[in-house]
Amino acid sequence: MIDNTGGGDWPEPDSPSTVEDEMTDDRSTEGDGRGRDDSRFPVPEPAGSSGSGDPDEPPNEAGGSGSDGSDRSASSDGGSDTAGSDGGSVGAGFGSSAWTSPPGAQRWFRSEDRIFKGVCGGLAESLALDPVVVRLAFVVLAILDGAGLAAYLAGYLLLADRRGAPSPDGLRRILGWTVAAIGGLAIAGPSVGQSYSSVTVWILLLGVAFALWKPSRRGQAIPPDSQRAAARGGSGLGGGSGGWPAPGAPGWAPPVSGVSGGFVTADGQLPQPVVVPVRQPRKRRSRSPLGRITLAAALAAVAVGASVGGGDPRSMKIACGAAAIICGAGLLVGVFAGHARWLLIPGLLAVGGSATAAAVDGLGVHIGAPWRNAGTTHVQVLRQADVPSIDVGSGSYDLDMTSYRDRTTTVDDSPANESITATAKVGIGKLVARVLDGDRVTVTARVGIGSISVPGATGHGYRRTVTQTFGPEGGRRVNLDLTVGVGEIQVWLNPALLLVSGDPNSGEQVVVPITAGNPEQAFPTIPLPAGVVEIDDTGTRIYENGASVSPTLGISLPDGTQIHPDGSRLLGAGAQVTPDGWLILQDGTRVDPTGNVFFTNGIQILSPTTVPQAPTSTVPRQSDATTFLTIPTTPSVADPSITSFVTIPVTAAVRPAPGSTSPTGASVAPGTTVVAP
Amino acid sequence: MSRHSLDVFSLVAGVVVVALGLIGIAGRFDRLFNHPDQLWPAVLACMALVLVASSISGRRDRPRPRRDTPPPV
Repeated sequence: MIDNTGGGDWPEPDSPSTVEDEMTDDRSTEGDGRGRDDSRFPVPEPAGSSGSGDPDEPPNEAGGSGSDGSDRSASSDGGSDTAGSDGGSVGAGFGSSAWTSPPGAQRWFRSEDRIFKGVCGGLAESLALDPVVVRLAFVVLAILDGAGLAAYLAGYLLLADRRGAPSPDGLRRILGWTVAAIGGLAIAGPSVGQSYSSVTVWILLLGVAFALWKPSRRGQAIPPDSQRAAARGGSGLGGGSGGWPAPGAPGWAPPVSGVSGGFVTADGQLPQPVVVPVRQPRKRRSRSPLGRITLAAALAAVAVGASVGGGDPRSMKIACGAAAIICGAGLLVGVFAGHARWLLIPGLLAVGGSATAAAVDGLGVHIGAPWRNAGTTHVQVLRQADVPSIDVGSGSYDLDMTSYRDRTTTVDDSPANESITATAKVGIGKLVARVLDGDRVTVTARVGIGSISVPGATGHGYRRTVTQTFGPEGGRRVNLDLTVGVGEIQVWLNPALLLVSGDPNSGEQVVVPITAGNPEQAFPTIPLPAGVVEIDDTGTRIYENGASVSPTLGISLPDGTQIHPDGSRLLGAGAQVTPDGWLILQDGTRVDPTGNVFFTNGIQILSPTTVPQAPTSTVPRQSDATTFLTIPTTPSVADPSITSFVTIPVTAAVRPAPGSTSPTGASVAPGTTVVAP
Repeated sequence: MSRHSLDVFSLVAGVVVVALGLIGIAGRFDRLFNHPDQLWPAVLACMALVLVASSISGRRDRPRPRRDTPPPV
């Protein structure tokens, strides 16, 4: 028959040495079904039809491929091939039933245009999306909670190797679905009360996946010339480097009726074969199993160490060290036999893991504890009883010891003189502790690898410990013992609270810095105004329906309407002004001409001009506050929603400075509230 | 897994990784990292060794050109 150059060990279709032609579907009617060599025919075939004997390989690779993935993809997708290369099939084998299988019938597969394993690219091709988008989605999911890793691993196990390749076998599918299930449980772990994900599980899964990994057969041995000739079969007319002219090429003529199995020229003579030089495929060195075996052993060592030690840094240190030694041993074996230079990379990674575990070791941190989902856990600490027990493998915690700024406590329950000791350990993550300016804070912060930032001291690097004491003597004593294996520790010094007290008699308000160092001061019980859910750091009151009142008395309503302190208004969408000056918003909220706001749920913002103002200048933060600020306000009650007040004795410790116009006396009049500076 | 000629790169890399693994198992990274003045020269020396080994290995693998033409008479 005619020479076939379309197989993997023949010149590639796009080679300049071949004569190209666009194959069309009507070819399927040309052949008589004879002489088709499916094993070398470069179109997708159903599993088992290729005759290659390898279910994991596409038919066109049976003879060892000299072409790259893109070439294969082109021939598979487009159905095009070289007429010259398939000369033996033109008019002979295109009636094969295998050709009737559309190349794109397989929906889910891994892409050959791959960065790693082609999962993202394959999904993008299947879903007609930009691969970059899919890859970004996987990366984001991987960063957030590891779901991207699980999904990628599951996709790698479940998807066909490429378009047209057979689906994964049963074991691989089972493993893939198992990975997907574990990934799903890991994501939903906290909600179902358990966490199935751990370092050990992931290492084991990766190890199993790697063990199942079958490298590309591009390096498969090339059959000798005699076998290739036999595979080409036929009379040998086109043997060697020859081939028939392509349809449409000079010397080509359509088949003549009555002449079986071939072409003749117009004058009835057999055409002279076109001599096409065959490019010899490049020999590829076969992949040595040394690397995979070594890596599998190293992963097993880490997995066993993590399982036995329960994530204890000491065991991880030994396990990673053992893995490094195993990788090094594999490299040493490769000195004489096999090639696995890339083992240097996992070897160095194992060394890094061992060093990290060594850094964490001794800090009392258990990295192997269950992983938490991404996000920061905020803990408000009012008193010692509120201090949580934090000893987790990973996570981010925010210990807020300034919370009585917003949730004030009663005088009798004042935490001013209470000593708080908090101990927290996080394996991998971040610890933030917020204390008040005025607290007497003693911090002992330790990190295995990471950074420490506390007022007056910083440290970063390997096994750092920072011990720092700051704050005035006599302040609320806060003892922090913070440990992070790998990550960051921060201690933030938040501004002290301000007590804004109003005197209806004198028409003055004094702003007294509340410091825990002043035992005469107390924290009044002042509920948040009705409907207010938060007073943020700027002093803005945020209502439950999204409205807000700024310290400058500007009001922002949920629909975008703004009422400025000077009375001007910026109307939101759908807002209407009635003839008598009322403002009716689309959601039914009404604003009277004086600026009072009446929400439909009964919440009101009345007389916004009486909202306590924030201080207009810096308040000295010191333990024995002697300097006051004067903020003129109306002598009326600062906020009508304030219903309870306390009496705070004003002693010499908070006596106004000379020249101050602040009132003196033993009590503070109604209108007392706490706002942020 | 066939035998081949001596791979100097693998030899040096293997020795380095094994040595570091032994240090890790022994828990001596503390000393190593607490003395960066000793660490960085060692790291640089290892890198130099790997580079030299890689260079030597590449030179050994390169086929020598045949001298098919007879020497000029």
